[in-house]
Amino acid sequence: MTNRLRALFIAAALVLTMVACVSNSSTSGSAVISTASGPRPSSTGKLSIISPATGEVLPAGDVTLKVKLTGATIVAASSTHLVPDQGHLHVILDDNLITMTGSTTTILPNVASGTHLLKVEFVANDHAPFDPRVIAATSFKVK
Amino acid sequence: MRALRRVCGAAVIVIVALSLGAGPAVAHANLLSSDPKDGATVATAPTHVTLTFSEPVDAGLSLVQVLDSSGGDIHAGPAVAVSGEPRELSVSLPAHLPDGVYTVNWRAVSAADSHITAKAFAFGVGVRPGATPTTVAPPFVPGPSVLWVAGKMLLYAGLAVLFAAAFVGAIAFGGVIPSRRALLLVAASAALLGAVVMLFAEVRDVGAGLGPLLRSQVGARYLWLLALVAGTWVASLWTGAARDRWTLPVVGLTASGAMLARAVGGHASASLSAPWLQIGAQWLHFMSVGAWIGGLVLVAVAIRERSRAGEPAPVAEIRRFSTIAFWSVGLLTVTGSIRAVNELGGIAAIGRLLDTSYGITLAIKVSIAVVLVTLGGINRYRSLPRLHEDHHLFRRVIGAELVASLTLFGFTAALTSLPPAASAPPSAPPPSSISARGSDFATTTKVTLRATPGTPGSNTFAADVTDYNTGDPAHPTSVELQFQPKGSQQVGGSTLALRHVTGARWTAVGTNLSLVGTWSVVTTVVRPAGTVQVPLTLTTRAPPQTISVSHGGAGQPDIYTINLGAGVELQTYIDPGTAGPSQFHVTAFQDGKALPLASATLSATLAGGASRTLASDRLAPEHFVANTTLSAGDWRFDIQATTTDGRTLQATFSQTIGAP
Repeated sequence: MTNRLRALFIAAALVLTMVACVSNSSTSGSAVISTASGPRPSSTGKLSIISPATGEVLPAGDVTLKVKLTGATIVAASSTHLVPDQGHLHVILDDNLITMTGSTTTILPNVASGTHLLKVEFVANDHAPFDPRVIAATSFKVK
Repeated sequence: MRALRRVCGAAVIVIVALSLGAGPAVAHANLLSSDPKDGATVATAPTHVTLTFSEPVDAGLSLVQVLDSSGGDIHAGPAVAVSGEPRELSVSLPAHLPDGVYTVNWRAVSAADSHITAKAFAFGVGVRPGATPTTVAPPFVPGPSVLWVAGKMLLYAGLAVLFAAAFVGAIAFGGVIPSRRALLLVAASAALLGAVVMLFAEVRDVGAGLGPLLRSQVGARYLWLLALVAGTWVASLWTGAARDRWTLPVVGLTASGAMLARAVGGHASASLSAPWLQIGAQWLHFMSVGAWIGGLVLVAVAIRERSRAGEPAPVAEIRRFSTIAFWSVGLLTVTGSIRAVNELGGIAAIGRLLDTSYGITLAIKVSIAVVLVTLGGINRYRSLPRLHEDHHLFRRVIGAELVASLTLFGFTAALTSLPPAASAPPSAPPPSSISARGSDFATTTKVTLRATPGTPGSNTFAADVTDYNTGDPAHPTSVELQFQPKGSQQVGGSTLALRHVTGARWTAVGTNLSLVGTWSVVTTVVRPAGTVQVPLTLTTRAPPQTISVSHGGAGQPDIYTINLGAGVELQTYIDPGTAGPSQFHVTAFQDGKALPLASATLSATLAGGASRTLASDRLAPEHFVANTTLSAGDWRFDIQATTTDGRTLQATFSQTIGAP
């Protein structure tokens, strides 16, 4: 009986320890799920800057920007419904996006003296670029 | 020793076979699905809401409420069982329900073990339900009440002593048990009192009244238990008075019958497969515990009685009891292991043990059992051989064993009131709500407030209003929340009246947490004794977001579309995505159309550096841009915007800015 009892103690302790001694396997959830979405659409539009012309020297004050857009039209409404021939223009002066416009003629107010790099981009209805980008650039000087 | 090896080997085979073959216990009715689904938008108004649970529910005791967005109860009748589908509840809705968001508050009473689960979800008719309670949140399971646990302790302890009086008394004491009349009367009275206390605790917890409870499936099991325990009590009186050895088995039979009634009315009956096998294991577990621990009481009383009479200690009887205890411990180890593995959902699920209150309580119970076995070993091998000369050590150890046994009964009572790990949700969910707890200055009333999902916008508020001293429902006549954002002078306060659901629970749905940040929430509780205010603080949590990334080609920025739920998206990108002058664009959309913003705050943080709030310009009502200069490295970009209709949008994304 003594040996039986001792052996049973060991067996019981093993079983009970198996149940009692376990690891904590809690998981932590993440609030962010990241997935890849499709590529950007390409546009049928062609864009060029008519004015100011490259290297043009302009008087101090407002600068009139004129662009030519072919193969696409400018629309005012924003949406995630992307159409290759619809969008609007973003105007970047010296690496700063200064305005968006729905017109091919835009006044850039009070441009400072000096040489400037002007870029205009035809972007999709969601304010993001087409792929490849539809972009035109010029440099001009203000006295 | 060879015989022992055979027994242990057979036990291991039985444990493994039964553990692998038996499905997990469910115990506690968790919501599996609903029609309409949680968070669904339906085009036409449903005529019914149907809930499907993980196990049969008692329709008479369960509750389903359907509330409109103002908190008004709109369902047309009580929840009813679906014919032929014992796991389903259905509630009818009025015809031509108008478009809007509807919240379903449910509280289910398991027909298997009478345990309660509760939660809420929302669906929309013609509109998105918006920020609804999420399906991943575990159901609210009320913890075991003090009354319930006390009742079970009394019942289990009483039945253990009665069973031991018959079984151990007959074998070890030759039918001559010590203090027979008093012992049987006290034990039987304790068991009867425990069963009655359990019944009234159930009435209070379910909140349905004694009559409806007794007419339910759950009530039928209580009636069986009460009848058997009452029979045990009568048999104990008769046996106590008869003083012959032949009437004791009647007490043992009725006590074991009451144990079977408890096994049928507990977690074991909720096993998904072979429930009668689990009920049988539970019944044997009860009886083996009764023989062991109830026998300890007999031994303690016998030693005390002999000592007072100046007679020698009953060494022979104790040795015979030791043999019974040996086999009882073996049997309860085997049956306990079968039950534990079943409750946990299989051997592979043992790793989840400490993830639940049930698992923790089970681990503590097993630890106490190990202590008991150790104390038994000390008495068997140290104290018993010297009992003729000195009984003090034996009595001290057996006293410690009885205290440990009482604690064991307490944990067992709590254990049978908690949801087993197998019925817990399959994975640990992310936090789906925020909560606060507090009391009034005079410490008369406690309030626990939970807002689900806890993000800015629409939330379901649930307040448990209890008496500070007793923890019972405070029974106020009205409860109102007053919201005020901390540190913001621009946003005024708002109030939300809560509606009483059941017990201590008051709920309502509101958009009062309209901004990201910390809110002062003062709970005004009107009680018959007076009105008190409980100040609380809630801090909104970041809303869940799903980000899809369009990786552009050469010269193209990566475009992040961050879905904030309810059709709201923030589209954002860093142009060009390399070091140097950059533009940080943010555009808001609702269901694909421009979502006008009243304001937007954009900030950028380089890994290991301080956050920079960027000057931003509005290019269009829905489009903001910040011109900045970024260096190469890992950046985090944060957006906090407010729509023109007052909604707060919050999003974060990370991007590595490459060298130019």
